[in-house]
This record gives sequence, C-alpha cells and structure tokens, in this order.
Amino acid sequence: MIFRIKPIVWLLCFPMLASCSSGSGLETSALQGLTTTLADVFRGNKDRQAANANFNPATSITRAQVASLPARTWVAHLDERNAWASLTLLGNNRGVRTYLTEDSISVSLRQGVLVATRGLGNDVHVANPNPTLAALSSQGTRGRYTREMTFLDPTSQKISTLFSCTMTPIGPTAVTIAQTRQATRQYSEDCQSDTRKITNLFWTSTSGAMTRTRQWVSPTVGYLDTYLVKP
Amino acid sequence: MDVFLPSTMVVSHNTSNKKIHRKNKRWNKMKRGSAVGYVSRHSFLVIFFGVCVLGPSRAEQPDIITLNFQGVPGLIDMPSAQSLPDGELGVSVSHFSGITRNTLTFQITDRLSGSFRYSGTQDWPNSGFDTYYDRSFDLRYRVLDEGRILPDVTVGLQDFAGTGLNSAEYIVATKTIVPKLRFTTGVGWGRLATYGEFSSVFGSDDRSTDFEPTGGTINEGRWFRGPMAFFGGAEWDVAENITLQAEYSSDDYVEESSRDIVDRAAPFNFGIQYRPRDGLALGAYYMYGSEIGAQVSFIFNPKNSAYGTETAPLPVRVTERDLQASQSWGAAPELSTAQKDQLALSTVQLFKEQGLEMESLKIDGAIATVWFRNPTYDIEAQAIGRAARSLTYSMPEQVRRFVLVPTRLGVPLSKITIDRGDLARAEFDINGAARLKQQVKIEDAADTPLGGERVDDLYPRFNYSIGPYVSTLLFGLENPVQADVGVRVAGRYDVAPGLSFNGSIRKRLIGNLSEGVDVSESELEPVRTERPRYDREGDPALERLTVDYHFRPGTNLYGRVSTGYLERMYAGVSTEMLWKPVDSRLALGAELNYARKRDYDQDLQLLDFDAYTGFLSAYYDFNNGFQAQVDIGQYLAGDQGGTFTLAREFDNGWRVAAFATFTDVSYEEFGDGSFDKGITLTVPISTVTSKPSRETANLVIRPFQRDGGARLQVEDRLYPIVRDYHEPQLNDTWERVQR
Repeated sequence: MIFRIKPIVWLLCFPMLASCSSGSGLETSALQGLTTTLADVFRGNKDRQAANANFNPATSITRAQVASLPARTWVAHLDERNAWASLTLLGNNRGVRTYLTEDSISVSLRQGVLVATRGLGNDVHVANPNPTLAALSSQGTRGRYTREMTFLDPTSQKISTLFSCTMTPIGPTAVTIAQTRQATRQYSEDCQSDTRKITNLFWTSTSGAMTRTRQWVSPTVGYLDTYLVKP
Repeated sequence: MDVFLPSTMVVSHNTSNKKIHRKNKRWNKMKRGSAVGYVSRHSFLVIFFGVCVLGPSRAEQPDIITLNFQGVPGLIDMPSAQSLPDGELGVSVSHFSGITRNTLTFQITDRLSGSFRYSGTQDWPNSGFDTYYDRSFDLRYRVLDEGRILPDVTVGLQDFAGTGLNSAEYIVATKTIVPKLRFTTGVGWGRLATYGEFSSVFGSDDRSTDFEPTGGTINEGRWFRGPMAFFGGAEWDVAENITLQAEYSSDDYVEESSRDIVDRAAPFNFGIQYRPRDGLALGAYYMYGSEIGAQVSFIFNPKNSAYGTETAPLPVRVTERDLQASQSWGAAPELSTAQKDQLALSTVQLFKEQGLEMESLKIDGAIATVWFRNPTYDIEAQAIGRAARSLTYSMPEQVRRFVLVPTRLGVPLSKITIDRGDLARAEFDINGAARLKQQVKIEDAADTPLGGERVDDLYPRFNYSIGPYVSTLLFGLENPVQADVGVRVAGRYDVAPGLSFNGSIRKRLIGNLSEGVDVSESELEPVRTERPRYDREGDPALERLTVDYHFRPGTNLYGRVSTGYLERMYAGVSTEMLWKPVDSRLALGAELNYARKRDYDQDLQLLDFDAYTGFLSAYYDFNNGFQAQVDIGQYLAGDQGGTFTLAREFDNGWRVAAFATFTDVSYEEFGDGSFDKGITLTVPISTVTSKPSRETANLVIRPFQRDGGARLQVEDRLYPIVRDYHEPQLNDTWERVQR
C-alpha cells in the first residue's frame, strides 16, 4: 500500500511551496514487506491468521536496515490480533508526532505516549499525554493523577473517560530492539475508570527517552505495543 | 414503492454492543414489588394482592424485554408495560394456527413507541383471496416508571386506525417482584376484552365491533369503550438467555374461532424464549390449550451501528508561521499563474487521496478558497476536516485562511472559513473540535459561485452506472410481497455547474409485479392505481430522461428546474425554490409542477391526462433528533390538502419517519386505507459496512398507494441536499472534523 504514502510525500516536498519536513523522502522503507497491516486484520477477515505473527522486534530487523531508515520509526504490535506494522513519521504538531502504517492507520504520540489513533475503528479520539509524561519524569513519585481519554461513539458523539492512575517504577530492564541491547527503566501505569482497569507499560532509556511502550487504545482494539526502531 | 438497494450493499449487521436487555436508566432506585390485584369473573388466574416484596435494585439486574405475538413488548399474546430502550427497532414474525403477524416496532422516544403490523390469517376468504391480510398501527406510552413500590405502567392503543380486526386498548403494569421474575397485569378493552369480560366500570358498554369497510380511519369513538377484562402473566429468566413465560389471555379469538381457524380451548398460554445472541430471540409456545406457536424477533438499536473504519486522514502540516504567537499573517506575495496552476494540481491530487473532488481553487493573498465535492463521507464534518488538512500540505505558508465551499450538483451549499493556525492548535487538543467549531465561520455561499482555477475535466463530464434494482410492492391487499429484480443503467452528463442531463433505463429479469391486480373501483382519476399496468407493460422502461438545473437565485435561496420524463408515470416540468439560511433550523420551500401522464409502456409517448400540482413546504429541525415537514398544496388527482412527516434522525444517518396525507378526498372516495400514509426507513450503508459511504438503503412501507394524496416523484429535491452542509446538521457530528 505504499502508493498511499508516495503521493503525500511527493507533495510534502512540492517544489518551492512547502519546505521539506523531516518526514519526507520515505518512499523506500526497510520495513516494507515485513508488516502485516493492522487494518487488514481489523477491516478484513478477523479470522485470518496474522501473516507476520513471527516478527520479532529484537531480531527481525538488522542494524543495517535501521541505518537505511530515513526518519524516526517505530514498529507496533496489536496484541489482540497479533499483527505487526511499521510506523513512519508523517507530521509533527507541537511535539505530537503522527506516524502512518503502510495501510493508512495513524498513531500520534507525544514522547512515546499515546495521543490519538486513526483508522482502527474504535480509535482514540484525543488523549491527554501530559499527566503521564509528568509522572514518568518524576519517576513515579507524583502519586495519583487523572488522565483523560476521549472516543467517538458510533453516532460520532464524543465520549470522555477519566482514568485515575498511578505510575510505579518496576526497575532497570534491558530492552533489545533491532539487535541493539540497551539499558532502560521500566514503569507501570495502573489506571482505573468507572468501568475499566488498564495497565500501560513504559520503558525509558537512561537519558529519559521512550524506547518501548505498551498502551491501551480502546475496548475493541485492546493494547498497542510500540518499539522505537530508529530515534 | 421501491426498495433501493445499492449494488454494494452487504447484508450483515454489527451488533457488537447490542444488548437485548438494557441496564435500566433508573437503576439507582431500589426495587420493591407491588403486585396489582385484580379479580376476573372467571377467577382462573393466580391473584396477587398488594403484597410488597423487597425486590432487587435495578443496578444488579438488566431488564430483559421480550416481544409478544403482536410484536410489542409483552408476554406471549398479551402486552406488558416494559419499553424498548430509546430509539430501538424491533422486528418480529409470530405464527400460530394459521395466523402470522409481522411487526415493526420503533421506540420513538423513551416513553412513546409506535408499531406497524401486517398480519395474515389463512382460510379467511376475503375479496376472492384465501388469506385475509390486515395492516394495523399501534401506539404505546409508558406513563409510570418502575420504582421501589410502583410498577412500570403503559397505556396502549392497538390497531387504532385499522379495519378494527385487532382493535384493542389496554392499561398494563409490570413489576419485577424478585430478581429475574416479572409479573404483568392489565385491563383491556376491545379485542382484549372478549374473554372473561365484565361491564365497563365507566358505564360505556356499547362498542361498535363492525370492521371499518376501508380501514385507516382513526377509531377514537371506540377507544376504552365497551366491556373490560383482566389479563396477566409472569416471566421468569431462568438463565441469562432463556425466559419462561405463562399468561392468562383475555382475547377470545371470536372471529377466528367462528371460522375454525383457531381452536381456543383454554385462556392460558405457555412459552419459552431463547436468545442465542444479542438482539435475536426465538420463542416456542403452547397456546390456548391446543395450538403450537413460534416466534422470531430481532431487536436493533441504530445508535449501536458499526464504527467507521476509514483510512487515517492526513495530519495537519504545521508550518513555522503556525507556531508563531503573532496574530499578524505576514506578507503574502502575489503568486504567478504558473504557480497557481501548480497549486491547483497538487490540491486536486491531495483531495483525491482523501476521497474528495476539488472543483476549483482561488488564491487571493493569504486566503485560499476551494470548491469541492464530497462523494465519500456520509458525515460531512469529516469531509470538511479532510479538505482543510489537505490544504495545509498543498498551500504555501503565506496562505493563512482556508475558505471551503462544498458543492453538490454544482451548487455551493455553504462557505466554511477556517484559519490555518486554529486548525493546527485544535488537532490534539482534548476539546479541539469544540474549540475549532467556535472559531470556524459558516456562512451562506450565494456570493461565491464557482470561480478561480477550474479543474479542467469536471465539465462537461459523463458518468454512468449499471447495477441491480429491486422494485417492491409490500403488504398488499392480496399479496404480502411482490417484487421485481432487474438491471438499471443510469447516466448523468454534467454540462456546466448546476446543469445536467439525467437518464435511466431498467429491464426486469425476474419478478411478479406484473401479476398485480388492477384497482378498478377508484373514484378519482387513476393517477397512481394503474401501477400494475405500468409494471406489466413497461419492460424495458425509460424511468427518467430529464434536463435539470440547480442554482442559487440569491442569499439563502436555492432553485431547481427539472424537465422531461420525470418518473415512470409522468413527464413534465418541476420547479422548486427553497429558503434556508445556513444557521437556521427552519426552511421554507415552494414547488410548482406541470405533469402529463406517460404511456404504460414507458417509451416516449404521452397520454392525455395532465395536472398542475404545487406545494408550500415548511421544514423544521428540532435539534433533538426530530425533524418535521409539512407540505400544503394540490396533489396529482386535483385534491388539495397537506402531508405531515415526522422523522427521528440519528446522528449516524439512520432515519425513521412516518408520513400521512390528508386531502379533501373523502375516506370513501380514497378507498382502502382511507388516506395516504406510510413509514420510511433510511439506513446509511456506512453503518452496515463500517466503510465511509454516502449510499443509503431506503425502505418505504406504504400500505395503500391510491390516487388521493399522490405527489410527483422528482429526483434531487432541494432540502435534503442543501441541509447537509448547514449549521444544524454539521453541529450534530462536528467531532468528526478530526477524523
């Protein structure tokens, strides 16, 4: 489905008019072909076996492939469907970066924390990442905080869900992504709404940058895992 | 009456969130039982006197609502006081000993529901046919909500406007006494007071029991009159998806017993209902001491339709100037023609990627105006958002403001002004869409006719489609379903903005519409009742061949002129004018037509009959999900009167509407049905497939299409087209601007 991205990228760099952003020039991706696309699983036959079930973010991508990636890239995994996809940087709006899969699902993250998804069906409309980021930067000493997530119901009305959360440091953990092992600190964010209990996990590097996450998206989509392949 | 099924329609449903049992809204009230006592002359029934039993709170137990043999909430053959959740639709088919009842029930509001029933009774000879088909309407209103002591109480009018076969009224109470056990008791009149009846306590024992010859008239003179009788029963939810039922019926099946259709040996009915999946229920019953019955019902809430799974939109492209705090737009150097051409080209491409069609682009300093069509998204706010974000990619940084002009049939429908900076700031704001709504200006577009850099290949343009069609005649006097299936070829030639040639031809492949029986006794000019002859002789048929012009005569005004072969039965000229300010919930329209009857074989020949028809129309959007329309004027047969339409509209595009036409034609002159009325059901294909689509499936249930109250069927009437991009409609689903 690369043809979906190509014209966009081409237009991003439309001569003289728009300055080329950092997200441009992504026609060739080393991750092409490895991804099954999340949308296929969601839009298509749900009984179909996910094709890339055996993909492993630790070993399936080589350092050489990473080096050839032109921009910041994550790989993502949808737990419930066991489907993998690459997330290619498309835009940056005041620190919220939007990434696109090859089949036009987008995920928007602020420093790795989920802000929005599009194209999954029951998407995250907008979620406020700031309380989570603040709790991470205080290494979980901040106590209880509230996080708001909004969704759209099938009649396009906004549903707001308030989660009461705590951030707990789990401790140092080694994370291997693309054959590169790095030291991280792992955190567990435990959140409770009126009707639901979720646990998000974050791994941050020694410099504080997010390298891996596991975050809840919505009741029908479940959890999304993200691995930062190229910073 | 046609069922339009787009060729892409997938027959499936998504009821993932659907629950046949609802969490009751009044859940926080504790439930205490109060059984209502009653005495019947034949005291067969277990009698519950006012014993208060401590019941469970509503929160612990969702209500299970079963539909009865009449297709309304109830036990087996008797009604209960429960209501379906607001907006829910129930379809049921019930059968026992030669009687089949098909019912569509709609919970119009939280308390009010309406039902349409089409029942067939075998071996009941009626006007030359072995089966007696009867159409009836019910209304129910829940007057009291279940609480600690009090039960749900509902007042119902059954078959309040039909021939009177099923005519009955009732007041019924339902209470959950202990968890999973509900008792229902009520008092009935009419048909529900034919067994165990006693003299009316109101002293009005005379009730006419004659069938109305034509049906359709409101029988208010009979309501709650005549003898009364008690009925009641109990339901026990033995498992989450299984309910056992027992009832005492006050319906003696007088007419059916006398014709040996029903052997009514006892007043008791017993049943079991099994719900294999959400919404679907199957029931088996032992009825009246001798008969076996069965029921299938399906309950669906339009609000719980599928989530849209469109592809992700483009995010906003943020430029340096978007990030600057300064309110000033900065310099906007004039662009060369070549540059503008390039910009138009790239915008066309981007819009295409997003499922939109750019018609024209004009760049004036820091302001870019774009005329575009939306052939893809049924939620218009989504098209607005996608168009605006696309422009952040194609427009140079100096362009600070986007003016979006959605067009349909070449007519600009509104002018939506969005500042680029506001768009960027709203994108990931938790209240971004609401904030953007306040910043966006929505104005009339009469002063912005298509201009600027036109896209070359849009005019002239030829489009055609080949697809199947289904034409139906439902719930007829002698046949419940008649239908033709065939192929339709349709073409559209856009000459210039607003001006088009349209045509369609269809050829039947299979069907039985041609077997329709002519209605010969019409006392009016046969303006519609010759349909069977048109069905018989018109194959293939030229359905439409018109020249149409849609235009903007001025601010808040929209115009249409259609001329040619307008529909299968009429050719002529149709003109229309609509007044509709962009922010108004009210619209006013005027329509004037000259119609000449077409030959039955639907070639180019015309018959002698002609007519002038004209209407003044008012449309009002109540902004609470209801929309009303009143048309006053002269109809095809020369009769004068008005058509009243009330619609419940859901934000995802589902629409359930009822209409009725009253003219100076008397009920006798009109014939069967007494007056023109019906129900229309509109289902957006997107809510079924979850893919964005502007297609809808429309079902019109019109029990009696006669010659009174008949209107021309003209395509592309203005109001539905114009309102889509106006404020009330856009507001309802504005959040989708972010999708």
